[in-house]
Amino acid sequence: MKKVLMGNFAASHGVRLSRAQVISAYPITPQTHVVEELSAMVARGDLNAKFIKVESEHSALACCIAASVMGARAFTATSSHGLLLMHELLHWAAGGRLPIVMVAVNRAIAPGWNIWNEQTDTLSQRDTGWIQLYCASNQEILDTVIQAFKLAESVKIPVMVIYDAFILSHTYEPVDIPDQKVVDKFLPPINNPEALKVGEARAFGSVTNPDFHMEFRLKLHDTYERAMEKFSEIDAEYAKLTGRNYGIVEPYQCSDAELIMVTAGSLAGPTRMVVDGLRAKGIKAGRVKLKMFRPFPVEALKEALKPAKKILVLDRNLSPGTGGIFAQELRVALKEDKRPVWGFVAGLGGRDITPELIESMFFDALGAEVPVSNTIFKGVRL
Amino acid sequence: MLGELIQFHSIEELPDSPVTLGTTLWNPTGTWRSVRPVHVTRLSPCMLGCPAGNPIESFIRKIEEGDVDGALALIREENPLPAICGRVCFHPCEEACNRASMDASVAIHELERWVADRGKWRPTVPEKETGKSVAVVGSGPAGLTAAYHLRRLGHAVTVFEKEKELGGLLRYGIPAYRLPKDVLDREIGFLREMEIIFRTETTLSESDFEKEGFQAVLFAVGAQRFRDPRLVHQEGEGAWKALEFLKKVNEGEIKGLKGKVVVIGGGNAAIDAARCALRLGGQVTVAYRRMREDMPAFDEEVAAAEAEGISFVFLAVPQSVKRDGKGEVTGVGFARAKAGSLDASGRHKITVDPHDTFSIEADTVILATGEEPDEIPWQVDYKPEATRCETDRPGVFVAGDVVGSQRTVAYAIGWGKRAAVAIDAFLAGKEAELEKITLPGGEGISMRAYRGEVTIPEGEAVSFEEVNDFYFPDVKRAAPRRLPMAQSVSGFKEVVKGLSKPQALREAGRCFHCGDCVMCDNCLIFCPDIAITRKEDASGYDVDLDHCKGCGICARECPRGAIIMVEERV
Amino acid sequence: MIEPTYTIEESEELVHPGHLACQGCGATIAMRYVLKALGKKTVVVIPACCWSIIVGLFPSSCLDVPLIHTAFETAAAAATGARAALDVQGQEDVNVLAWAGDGGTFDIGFQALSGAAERNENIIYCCYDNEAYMNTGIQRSSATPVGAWTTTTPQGGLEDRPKKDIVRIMAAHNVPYTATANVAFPDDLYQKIKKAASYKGMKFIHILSPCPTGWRIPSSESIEVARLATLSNVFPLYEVINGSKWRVTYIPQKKVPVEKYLEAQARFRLMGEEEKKRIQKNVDEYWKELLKRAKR
Ligand SMILES: Cc1ncc(C[n+]2csc(CCOP(=O)(O)OP(=O)(O)O)c2C)c(N)n1
Ligand SMILES: [Mg+2]
Repeated sequence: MKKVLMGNFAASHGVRLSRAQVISAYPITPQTHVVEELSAMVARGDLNAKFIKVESEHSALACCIAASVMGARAFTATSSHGLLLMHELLHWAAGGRLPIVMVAVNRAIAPGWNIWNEQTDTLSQRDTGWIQLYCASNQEILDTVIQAFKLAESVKIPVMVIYDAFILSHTYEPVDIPDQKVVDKFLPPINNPEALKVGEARAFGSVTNPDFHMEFRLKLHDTYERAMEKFSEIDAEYAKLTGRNYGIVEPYQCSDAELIMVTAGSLAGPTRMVVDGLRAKGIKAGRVKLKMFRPFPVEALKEALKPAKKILVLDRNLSPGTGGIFAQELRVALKEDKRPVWGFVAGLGGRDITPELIESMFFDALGAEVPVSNTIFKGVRL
Repeated sequence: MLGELIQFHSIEELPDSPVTLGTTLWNPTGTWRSVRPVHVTRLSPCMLGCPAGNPIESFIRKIEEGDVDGALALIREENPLPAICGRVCFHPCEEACNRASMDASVAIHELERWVADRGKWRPTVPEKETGKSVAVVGSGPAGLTAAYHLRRLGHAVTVFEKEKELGGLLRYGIPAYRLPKDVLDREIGFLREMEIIFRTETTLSESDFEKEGFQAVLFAVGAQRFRDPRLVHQEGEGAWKALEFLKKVNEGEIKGLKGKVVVIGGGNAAIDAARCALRLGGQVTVAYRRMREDMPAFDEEVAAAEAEGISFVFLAVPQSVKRDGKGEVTGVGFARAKAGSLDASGRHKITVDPHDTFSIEADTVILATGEEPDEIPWQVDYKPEATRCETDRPGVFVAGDVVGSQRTVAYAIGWGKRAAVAIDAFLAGKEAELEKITLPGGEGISMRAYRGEVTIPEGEAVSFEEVNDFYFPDVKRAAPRRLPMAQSVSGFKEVVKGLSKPQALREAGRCFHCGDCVMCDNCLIFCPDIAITRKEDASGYDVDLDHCKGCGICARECPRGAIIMVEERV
Repeated sequence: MIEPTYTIEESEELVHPGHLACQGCGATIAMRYVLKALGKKTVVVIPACCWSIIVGLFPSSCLDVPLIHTAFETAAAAATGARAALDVQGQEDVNVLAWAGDGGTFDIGFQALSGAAERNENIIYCCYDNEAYMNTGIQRSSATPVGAWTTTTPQGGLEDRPKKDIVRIMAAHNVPYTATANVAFPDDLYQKIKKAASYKGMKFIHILSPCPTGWRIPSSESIEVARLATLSNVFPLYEVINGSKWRVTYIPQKKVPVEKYLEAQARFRLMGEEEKKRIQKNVDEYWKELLKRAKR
């Protein structure tokens, strides 16, 4: 069934179709619609879940963690400050190998208060052990939420489904809502054999001394690596059922591209337009959309970037003093590589990234052998 | 018991996150311990206080368990005269009772009496006779006790009593309002049932002893010899020696007294005589040379006398009995004394001023200035306080007031027990190992220990500091029912009527059971290490030393000092 | 018959020996009776506190029931989640017990606790109060009484603030059941937990749990000192039904001066006579007010 939905509602439908059992969340713009709609769904009886209106994001995730420990399918959603407040518990969820799914809507971080788009909030959680999947359309949001539950439950690692504030969250797009039957086939009821059961005497999250802590982290790390493969399988299976899939990375016009721009999230759309424009001008431009950021898909990226002579990264985020986070990660991934990498930072705090601005980045790279500096701010006004 | 720690041999065996797989039982937290708790049975101070060696704590426990007969049987293992002791003993046990430091001691003597009056018990003859034969001279409490225990040990026993009736001081000294004669008769009746032979109005000569084939003799002849104050004009009508007076009263030969009576003295005989004189119609004054607090008489008795209307004059040193021309008593002359500092016995020293005199009018004077041990008619010598009851002649023993200075019924019973043991050992040609059966720190001995039925706990008795008084709510000490005062003073009916059943049960419930585990579960309840469990047969507790960390809470929370902490050897 | 002193029913121990509590730990005794009252159909949630250690290191747990360790400030929220999971799984009859220290309750976990109380989550929240952050080495919490030495109040009685009245605060949430309890009164504790379990909704029990290490007392005196707290009215035992019906569950037979309680513990050694008098006055006033609230 096709419906015109805001990105946030697309997320809600994904959660409904996934039959989440425990939902616990706290309001924060621009995520709020997700849980508003979910509470309406629960109230209407469209979704048989416990919806807990906790008193903070911190409690929201704590609540999901315990529910997940007890074997329930748990979901939460947040943004920005809410996500940062959850930081401690993000580690708990991943270290505890709990298949929780969260929607994180990218929003800038204060001060000053800024509700507009920027990806620093999720990217700064990169070491918490969560899988991060960035979406570029409302359809992708819905599909990714469903995939995320399957992925989380098959590798026992929590998954964050991420998309941009307003650009997606509040924007209406036509979305195909799959049949519940189709989703049920894809995503069976949760069955976590390690969940605690009443009558059994097991303790989750015990004190672990140096004899064991490292092994647990190693196990997490190893499984994390495998999550990439697992996602590809899941993505393929989903494609069979719905005709849609997204890939870990999505290359566009890359096969013969000399300049390839790497970006994530909703920027996939404008960058594609710009590539088309440049191609019309005879410039061999390409673009790679990064869907999975954690685990970082080094091999897939290397493969997609193979033809490029110059690599551009467009970051809507900032690690102050270092630059764009995607650029930083990519440089590490390509460390053997001699190809120059242009790291552009633009659109912080909701500033527009116009096609012209993107185009100017390609021209910067065209016009020089190497970048003028590691990090190049674009669209600075004053 | 220790469990096993789960081991992992490969990373695959490890769960995905730190979710536990087993218990902590493998962890030998007992190694943290420097002291370990040990459940012990310890002496209660009441038992040390009892010269008769009554099993006080355990008989009270029987009462609490609802087993009155069992309680009585237990007492009678040690003491053949509980109905008497429960009435006339001045209960040093109660002074020793730890509960005295909290509110008031347990009314042990009342409980003993209640058990003796209510419990059913039948005496038995010994299963095996030893074929040995013992003579006991004197049928006071010491003689009766010795006879009873010797008989239980299988010996043939004959008691010789010079008076018409049995009981000695119990019959002729103690007035009926304190000890009704039927109570005494009942107790003696039990002894008869045990086939103890009683010969009254008889003495035992050395030749008869040989002739009748006795192998041992015990002299328990008491202390009735008058200690003479040598007052001017004391001889003659109207002036009585206290014991003679009491004997006549007890025999019913004195039916009434007219006018004023002055009793001279401050001991129990003085009070008994005074209270008898009052009941016979006299207007009684007791005159004593020192102060009220110095009186050797038991405080309760003095208080009862006061309550009944007897007057007391203190610091009055008697000089003469005053008589008129016809020789009739008209009064007593005294010199006034001054009280000084305390002497070694804790009583006031007095100084007498022979010139400061006064007199008190009297129609009758009773001299209760004390008694001396009686003479033993045989040629024997013995030391005072000879705890092994021996004399310079093998086979001849002494017990009771004749040898001991503490002249009370309870002491006499204690003597009787010691004599029985000494004679039994003598008859078996053994040394009497009295130390082994004497309660350490006390005077009483345990016949059950002598027969090897119990072992006497070692170590000190439980002190009040070791009792956790929180566990004992305030309950008022039971006051026995009494005869109304008007009835009390007008006759010889028993004044104290004992406890009712609810009173007795409540009173028994006041006992701390010092040093005796009653399985209250406190140790188990408060153990933070879950290291204490009940034994399967409910006979006590096991401590899991693999896990007990030795915190000591159990010992501290034991209400009755029945757990001690023992240092671990390193 | 010698009367049995306790009404605690004989049942399986749900706390195993071999745990890692210090000698004489009151919080361990508290857990024993709370679990005894709740039984095996219970899920426990424990935030960071001494109990996260006591329970044992991976791969061992001393509890015979499922246990969720959770972040310091999240006991009530995590209990909410466990409750929700059990409910969606149709296991409404299982008890969820949040078990937190005073720091995790009065301080850092208070927000989550208040939230859960306001939502009237169907959980039992027990705060075992040892009156400081003990796990991290005896630092002051808002449950630390005036005048007590801790490593962050080296001068003892400098901070003249009364202890946060947590039960009153919780009762003000109008939850079905709030109560105080004391490990020195295990019967009262046990019965209160039984009673708590019979209500649907939020139950909050504040359990005084002596800490020999932090209170500077011999381990053997742990219970004795805890008992003095109640006998001196420093820590009265009471319960509040629906936030309005107050009932004192234990009235000390013999009044014990507060001084006796204070002097039994070396943590109060720096306290002056004036201060002790003031505390006595406060205690007396609080007790009077409590009796009034309980209409006694
Ligand atoms: C967010 C956070 N801050 C601080 C700590 C460190 N920490 C662990 S336990 C604890 C003290 C707990 O005190 P309390 O709740 O009173 O329990 P107790 O240790 O006294 O049993 C602290 C401060 C932590 N684990 N997490
Ligand atoms: Mg604490």
